[in-house]
Amino acid sequence: MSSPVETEVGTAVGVIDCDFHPYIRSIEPLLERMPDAWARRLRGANMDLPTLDLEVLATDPEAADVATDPARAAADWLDRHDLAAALLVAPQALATVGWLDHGMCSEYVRAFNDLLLDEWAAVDPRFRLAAAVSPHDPEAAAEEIRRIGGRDEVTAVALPLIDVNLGHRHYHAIYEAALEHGLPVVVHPSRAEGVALGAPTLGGGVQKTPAERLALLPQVAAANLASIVFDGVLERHRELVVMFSGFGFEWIPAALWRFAKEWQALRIDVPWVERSPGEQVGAQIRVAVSGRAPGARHDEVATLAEMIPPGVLTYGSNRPESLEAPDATIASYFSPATAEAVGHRNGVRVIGAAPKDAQG
Amino acid sequence: MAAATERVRDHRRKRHRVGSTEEFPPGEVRVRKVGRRDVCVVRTEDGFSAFRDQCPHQGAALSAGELTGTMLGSGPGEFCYGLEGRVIRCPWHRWEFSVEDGRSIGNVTSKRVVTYEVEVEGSDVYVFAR
Repeated sequence: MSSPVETEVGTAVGVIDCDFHPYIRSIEPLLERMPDAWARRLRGANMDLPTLDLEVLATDPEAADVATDPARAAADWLDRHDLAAALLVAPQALATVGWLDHGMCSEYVRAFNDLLLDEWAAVDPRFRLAAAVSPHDPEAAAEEIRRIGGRDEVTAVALPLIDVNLGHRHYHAIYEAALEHGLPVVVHPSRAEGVALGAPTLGGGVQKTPAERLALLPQVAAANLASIVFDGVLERHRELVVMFSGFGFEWIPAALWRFAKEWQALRIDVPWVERSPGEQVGAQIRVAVSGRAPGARHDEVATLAEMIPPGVLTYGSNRPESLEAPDATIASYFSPATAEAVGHRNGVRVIGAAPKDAQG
Repeated sequence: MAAATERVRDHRRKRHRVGSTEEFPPGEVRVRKVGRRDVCVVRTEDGFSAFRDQCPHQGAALSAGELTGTMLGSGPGEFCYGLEGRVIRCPWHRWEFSVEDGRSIGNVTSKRVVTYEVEVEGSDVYVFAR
């Protein structure tokens, strides 16, 4: 099976997966990559790796193998679907959101990045790394970006969200470091939203169940998008690209309508916003599209997708949380003309030139 | 072609006396009937401006809004106030327009308020309109 998408001139290019999730089964390889004192401290805290309780990993051995074995992932995901590249966004590396030892957070993500470079990116050049950073210590995060951001395999920064929205000056150092290396910033749910101290809160009040929290996750993305638009992050940094993965995309048209309305009326509160929110988003925001929502009619979803600026939507499998093949996702949402942009072109900014493109 | 169109417009405009200069204190909007239109006349530091009493958004009477200044374009987190007395803010949705050229402040819309040329002769204020 393969999933090339047609370009406007009719040549097939491989799909770019901007949201592939590698997992590790043991914390030992991380400890080996940490300074001894920090490794002892982490071991002493008797910490277990977060999010290994993911249902699909526990119940689908094949999916678990693809998520944890880079050779299997290259064969059964990249080769099988003829993908041009896959961006590695490691959910376990985003788990620092609720941690209180911020020094540990920085050491942990540093070790995680090294592990993914050693054990994944080295296996296949189609694997590209979204280097994880800790959201708690922007200076340390910037240092980590500068440490590895110049490597070819590193094409993005993975920033988990806390209860400080992305427009706040807290993040300036991170954006500046990312821009030094031309890296987009990828934000992805960490599973701490709405439950952990210091994680983003969801609207209305406290949610009682995971179902409620997950259903409301788009609120977190919308809040952070509003923040970077109205706080002027995209105006200050016109080369910065921010990608929202794992939040769905159905919320974007409604959010943009409201953003435009309030900007027109309340420009005096944000005089630094010189471009309309829609223009900013179209130029500098990417949103990953993964598996189909059950019950959503194809034509309805396709209509919704057409309401979003053309450069925004980008394919991201969200595998193994979603196991849908790229063909199914892209074909279900988009016309053939749009599919090339979503499946490939819009993702190039996120993963850099795909190996196949680079080979010409 | 555009110049010819402009000449036709100029030719068809008429000069309408809208009052004497003392009827237009700085910082206040006065509405005058010009033909069948309601026209707002304001006095700025540089002279007089006139514009149609109708917001191009949804038609609100701009004279019910505020003649004000506004926040100018600035760096994120910075505020810089200016254009005092040169901005009309619509009472309905707070869109702002320059009283001098009718353009949207901050380009929140491409729609413009209709403006009119003003001439002062002695103590008489005239508006040019068809």
